[in-house]
Amino acid sequence: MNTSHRNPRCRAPLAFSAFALGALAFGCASHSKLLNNDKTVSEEEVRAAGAATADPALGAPLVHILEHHADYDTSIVVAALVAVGDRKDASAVGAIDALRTHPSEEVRWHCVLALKQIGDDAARKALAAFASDESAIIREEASENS
Amino acid sequence: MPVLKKSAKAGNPQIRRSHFAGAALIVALGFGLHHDAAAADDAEPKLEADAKLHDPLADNAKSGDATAQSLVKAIAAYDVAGIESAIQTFEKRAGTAEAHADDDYFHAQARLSRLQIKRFYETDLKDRMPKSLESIELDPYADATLVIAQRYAAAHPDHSDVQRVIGELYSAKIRGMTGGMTYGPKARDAIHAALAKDPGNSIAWVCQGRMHYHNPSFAGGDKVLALVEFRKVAESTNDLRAHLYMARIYRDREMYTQARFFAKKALKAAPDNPEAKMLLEDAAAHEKQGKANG
Repeated sequence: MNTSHRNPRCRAPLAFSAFALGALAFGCASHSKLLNNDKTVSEEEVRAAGAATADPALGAPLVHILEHHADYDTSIVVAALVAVGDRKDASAVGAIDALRTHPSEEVRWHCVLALKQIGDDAARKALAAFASDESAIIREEASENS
Repeated sequence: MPVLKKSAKAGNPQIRRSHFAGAALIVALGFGLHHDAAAADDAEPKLEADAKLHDPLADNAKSGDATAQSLVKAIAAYDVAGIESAIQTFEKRAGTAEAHADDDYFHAQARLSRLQIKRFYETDLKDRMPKSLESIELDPYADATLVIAQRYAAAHPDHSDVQRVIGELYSAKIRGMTGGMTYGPKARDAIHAALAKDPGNSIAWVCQGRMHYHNPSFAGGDKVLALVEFRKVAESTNDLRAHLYMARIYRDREMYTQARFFAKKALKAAPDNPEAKMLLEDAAAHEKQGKANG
């Protein structure tokens, strides 16, 4: 009879494996709305894509949110800007630059942060344009060194 | 400002106490919203996307005297001495020919602000609490303030913002489950009354967002809706309270760039506000630490 489940030394790895499988399943599921360009995607899911830098498939959906910003809540657009910044995703610079006239100060301020994090030539050029924003806190952030 | 790690927070008895008090408040407010749920759902005010909001306290102060105007500035800066000076003025001229028609409203607001500022220091900066706040006993002080606010409300039945002051005073009295069952519904009803009288009352919407944020979903809580309400108020009125609340929410969710943005906005609205300064320093320290950790 297999009594390994009664042995505490065996239970620990089993529990760990179950936890790891659960976490993996949760991890896979947690990006599903983002990958499907689902407009009900949560801030947490978008934000998590910023940390998942090893997954290149998440870059395009983030840029999609920026390009279709009018379809999403401000909080989601901001979370996408944080995520592309964390990923240092140079392919997002054009979409970020296009948000320069976005009515939300919160969005434009996060554009500046994302461009600073990306930091390549195109990002620096786009960043310079934010230095003349109508909002003082955006101008300050754009002119501060990252 | 030291950066608090999760583990450090959990190990700090002061923070554990505030977490416990917060949890008790959540449960208590939950009972508040749960009470007579069907009627509450019918009466639940909705913040329309195109709603025109305004800061009633600042607006009312414009037509008030110099004491009322300086009080509003003192409240924004958490200038306890300034608030107490205004209270002394209201007390001194009460019942005399020098009293102004809106004195009871501003007096009640000033006393409410003392309670709220005391709570901020108790929770976040206990070692820096102004001496004059230490001796305040919550229940008798809130009860005496309610008498002043209710007297004004009786004389001004169409006044929206005094209802909000009454609601916040009941909220301030909530401690634990029993307090929540007693005062939660009263707080909610007064906030709803304020919004029924003036749907553009931005401070009442912040109170409504706070109830949505802290209550569990089974009791009417809705964190997403709360953030929509706070964001709408923050964007359309540059309201200090909404900015501070947003900064706190994003800090608690460990979304520090968002927290820093709202703390910066709060500091722009009130450059001397210690809560805005603390939240900005805290968010900036966490961001810096996050960058250092790669």
